[in-house]
Amino acid sequence: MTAVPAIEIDAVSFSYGDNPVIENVSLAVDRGEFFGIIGPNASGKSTLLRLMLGLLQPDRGSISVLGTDPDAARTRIGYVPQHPGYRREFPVCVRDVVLMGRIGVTAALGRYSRRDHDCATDAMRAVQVDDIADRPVAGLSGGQAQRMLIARALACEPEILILDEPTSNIDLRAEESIFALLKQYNAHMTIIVVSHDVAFISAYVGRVGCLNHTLICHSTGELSGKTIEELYGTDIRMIQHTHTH
Amino acid sequence: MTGFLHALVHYRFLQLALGACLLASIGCGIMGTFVVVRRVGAMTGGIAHTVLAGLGIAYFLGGSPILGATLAALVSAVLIGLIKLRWQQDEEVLIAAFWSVGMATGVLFISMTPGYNVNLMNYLFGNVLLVSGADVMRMLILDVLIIITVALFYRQFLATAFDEEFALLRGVNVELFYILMLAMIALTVVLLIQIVGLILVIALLVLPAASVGQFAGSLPRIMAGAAVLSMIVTFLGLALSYAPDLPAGATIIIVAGITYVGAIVLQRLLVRRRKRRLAGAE
Repeated sequence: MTAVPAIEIDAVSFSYGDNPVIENVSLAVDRGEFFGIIGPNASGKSTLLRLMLGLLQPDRGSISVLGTDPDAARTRIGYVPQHPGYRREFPVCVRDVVLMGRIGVTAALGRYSRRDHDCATDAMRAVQVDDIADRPVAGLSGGQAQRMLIARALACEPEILILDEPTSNIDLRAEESIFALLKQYNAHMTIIVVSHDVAFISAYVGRVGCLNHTLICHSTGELSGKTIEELYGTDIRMIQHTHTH
Repeated sequence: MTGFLHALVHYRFLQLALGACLLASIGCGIMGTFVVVRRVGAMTGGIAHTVLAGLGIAYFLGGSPILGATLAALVSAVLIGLIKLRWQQDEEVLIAAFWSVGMATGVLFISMTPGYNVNLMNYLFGNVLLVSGADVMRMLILDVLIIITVALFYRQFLATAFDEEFALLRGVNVELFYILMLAMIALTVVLLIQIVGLILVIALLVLPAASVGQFAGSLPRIMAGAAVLSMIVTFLGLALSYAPDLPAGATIIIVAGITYVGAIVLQRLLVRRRKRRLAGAE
């Protein structure tokens, strides 16, 4: 018996009004994969993620997540959005936001359990926001807010972790530590990450999908200046890097 | 003030009025906090004004005004919520439409009521001194209902209010909880109308929570603080209005307004002091 893939996208197209964003994309991500999606601005990266999450419905084609409907699989996914979906001045502290990741995992009514609190604490520790757990979200820097959102997604104890530009507000060193952390989590969960940073991402992920309305997949070994040039339509300087992990 | 306290010991109508103020403050603190953090103040105003339609129809049919008010508030809350979410209509326009059409409906029905002798002013501006024992009992039941609902579903209410998309991804029925929140706000509006009237009700829902929100950093704290502040404000308003025989509802609202101004001024002063202290420490 073959395992059900984490994500299976079959000939999916999607447009906003008359503006086609995703054209005939097919993709299978196996369980345990660390999959990167790169592509220029407005190439449909976030849209593809929103289709996987069932927040958007494809115009054509089908998507299955963990062998079922995206809607039904939702609570088994941890999602880190590119832009925080909350108002900065909302009166809530970091810990309470991270605890929201437990909704859908824990009992529907009443209070959070001991285990919920432990999960949230572990997640905050992993991304180093445990020292600001009681701070209101209003005072957070962009990087702190982004790490809080990663902690919230980790607190879901997801089977699949989907991250949309998780390090766009974070400096390079913190970015490395977050990707190193994701690499650890990858041991027991599938990870899909969108990034604009071609060179950086290929050091961590196993396979890369290059999206520009259509999708072409590469194993990271075969990513070359030529494929990137085709994708972006211009010459992009690749920084050579070696794997030391 | 001593005159008021003296009268309070002797007169049952004053005791009932005070009981009503204290009980209404509980619902007011809890749901007022949601009105402020979800920014549905204008929508609450719209719901409050459509209550006049329910009152008018109840008078015309000879039914219970408070039942008419409750039904009108609930129906308008659910309709505004559903039309906004399902038909993607502009909230501003919906509020304006419900607000004025609701009032117009109420005025028409009241004008058609035979032997017209309704004291409209009591509903527009409240008359807490007319509150009955049954009214106070009803307020107690509404408070219990609000507390139980919010306590049971606190996580869902908080998650929906904070980040709707993430709540949806965690399997929360965000539409249901949005409309349930509006319905609970509608019930609170009915609760408060007997005290300050439907025109002034938004102020009492918004101002205590907004005042406490200047200083408190979490929803439960704002709820508790706003409930206590609202008790103080309604008590003071009632007491101050008694001796000079001023309208209690309007006096309560003036006190709430002054409290809010005091809160934002104090908040500015605290921020400035903290900055000065930080600058001095360097």
